[in-house]
Amino acid sequence: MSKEEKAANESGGLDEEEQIELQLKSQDSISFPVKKDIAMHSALIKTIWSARNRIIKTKQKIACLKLKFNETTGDQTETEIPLPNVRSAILKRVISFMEHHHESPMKEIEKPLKSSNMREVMQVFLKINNNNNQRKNTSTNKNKNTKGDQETLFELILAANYMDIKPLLDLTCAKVASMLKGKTPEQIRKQFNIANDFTPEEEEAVRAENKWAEDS
Amino acid sequence: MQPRTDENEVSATFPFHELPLVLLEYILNLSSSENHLHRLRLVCKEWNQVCDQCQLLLECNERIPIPKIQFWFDKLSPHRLQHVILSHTKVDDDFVQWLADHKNLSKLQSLNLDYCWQLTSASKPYMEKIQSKKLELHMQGMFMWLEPNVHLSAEGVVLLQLYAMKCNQIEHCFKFASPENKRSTGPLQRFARMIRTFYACMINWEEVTTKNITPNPVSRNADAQSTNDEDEAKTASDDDDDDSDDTVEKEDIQQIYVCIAKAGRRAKFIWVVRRQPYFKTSDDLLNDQFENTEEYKVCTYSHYLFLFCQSFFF
Repeated sequence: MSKEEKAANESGGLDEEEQIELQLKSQDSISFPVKKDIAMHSALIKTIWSARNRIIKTKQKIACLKLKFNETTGDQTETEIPLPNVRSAILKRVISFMEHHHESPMKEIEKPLKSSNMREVMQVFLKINNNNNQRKNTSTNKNKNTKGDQETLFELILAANYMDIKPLLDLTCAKVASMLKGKTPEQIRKQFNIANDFTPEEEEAVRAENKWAEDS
Repeated sequence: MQPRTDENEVSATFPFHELPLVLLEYILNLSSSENHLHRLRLVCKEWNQVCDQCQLLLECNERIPIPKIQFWFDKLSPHRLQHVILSHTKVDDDFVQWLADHKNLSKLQSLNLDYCWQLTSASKPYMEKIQSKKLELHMQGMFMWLEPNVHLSAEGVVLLQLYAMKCNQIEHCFKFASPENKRSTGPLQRFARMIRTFYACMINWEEVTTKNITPNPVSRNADAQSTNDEDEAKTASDDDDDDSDDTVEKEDIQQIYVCIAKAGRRAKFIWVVRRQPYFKTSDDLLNDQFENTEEYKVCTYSHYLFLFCQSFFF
């Protein structure tokens, strides 16, 4: 972070900056109020906010010079952050994650995963889901909601990547990775609806090549 | 990769085919243990290619054996082999010869051969060939090929000596001894006898840690949270320091704390190295005309060389 950005973040480009609530605007134009501290877990929002702060400060300086300071301060629309790649349902979950992560930061996930049991790792994620969906036990609803969960998971990964929230990206990718763990290629293809585009000869060649690599 | 459409029983769909490649690689890296990657690569062609990169990264972290390095060099396309980190105790002369003649070598951007201490002087011509490709080459700790020079830090000299002794090549340790040290401990045979008799723990050591503990007048008390070992080391070094008030000399003398582990025992030492006056050879005498220039002043204190070693705790 540059000195300017640090100063903008610490001393505030605006008055009482720590109290500011940002409005995160989803793809479907729904705004979610989020405290600035919490929203800053997203590197994308942090970058947008820092850039906007610099612009506001510049505007204020220009306004001061023109003796029109009052006309440019207190502009409510300046706290709105558009996130055109994220649906409101997903954004809601992302915000829940950021709030939870803000209160009790998530531990870093070990790589590579040592087992396919993600129960412990996914405690935070499951808790968020429970709160949002009023579920008492995720395991009992596992089959019923599997399709919806996987679509949500996919969108969460894309959102975490787009908004640059590393802990959420780690968590969601780890969840997918755990679903692959311990499965045969055929099981993975079946579970994730992936076509086998190897010819039998090519598949045999890959097997043989890796046997060589394993043996060497 | 195309999604299946002909299986009605599939209801759960995580759309991998829509996932950007970089995220697919991230996920496969997370789930990739050595054995599991071989399964993942059989899922489809796209996964097979992504797994190549995952496996190379995985194996590089685990210091892969030379045949596997050769395997990846042949298998991966040159643009995916931009950086290779070896830093490997198993890199030997045969491998360097193989690497120097490899068609992909010119595509590499950097090669790390730090502390590949099994290499001998037989590799020198091949190393020169590799160097001629203008890739970024890291060669820390290569005591075989390095002579005392202005680019070596005090800690670098100590590490070179330590690695020479790890390989039981005391002559390479001796070459980094200062003239004063050589006068009192030399010649080489006597020096070697002294090391083998009184400092046997240094030969073929198993683990070593080093830390520059040279007292700094500005930050002498800054590091209040040092470990017990470091405190011991600092105490020992402060005792030595009391004798010398010459500030120029203080800057030239560096004290390196060394902890050597071998056969379940640890021995701790203070290595003292001093920046040495420039050694004049017949060629250098020709340069006497630069005596009063700034360049010459730099050269007059050019090399860090081993002065003496003090063991303070066993």
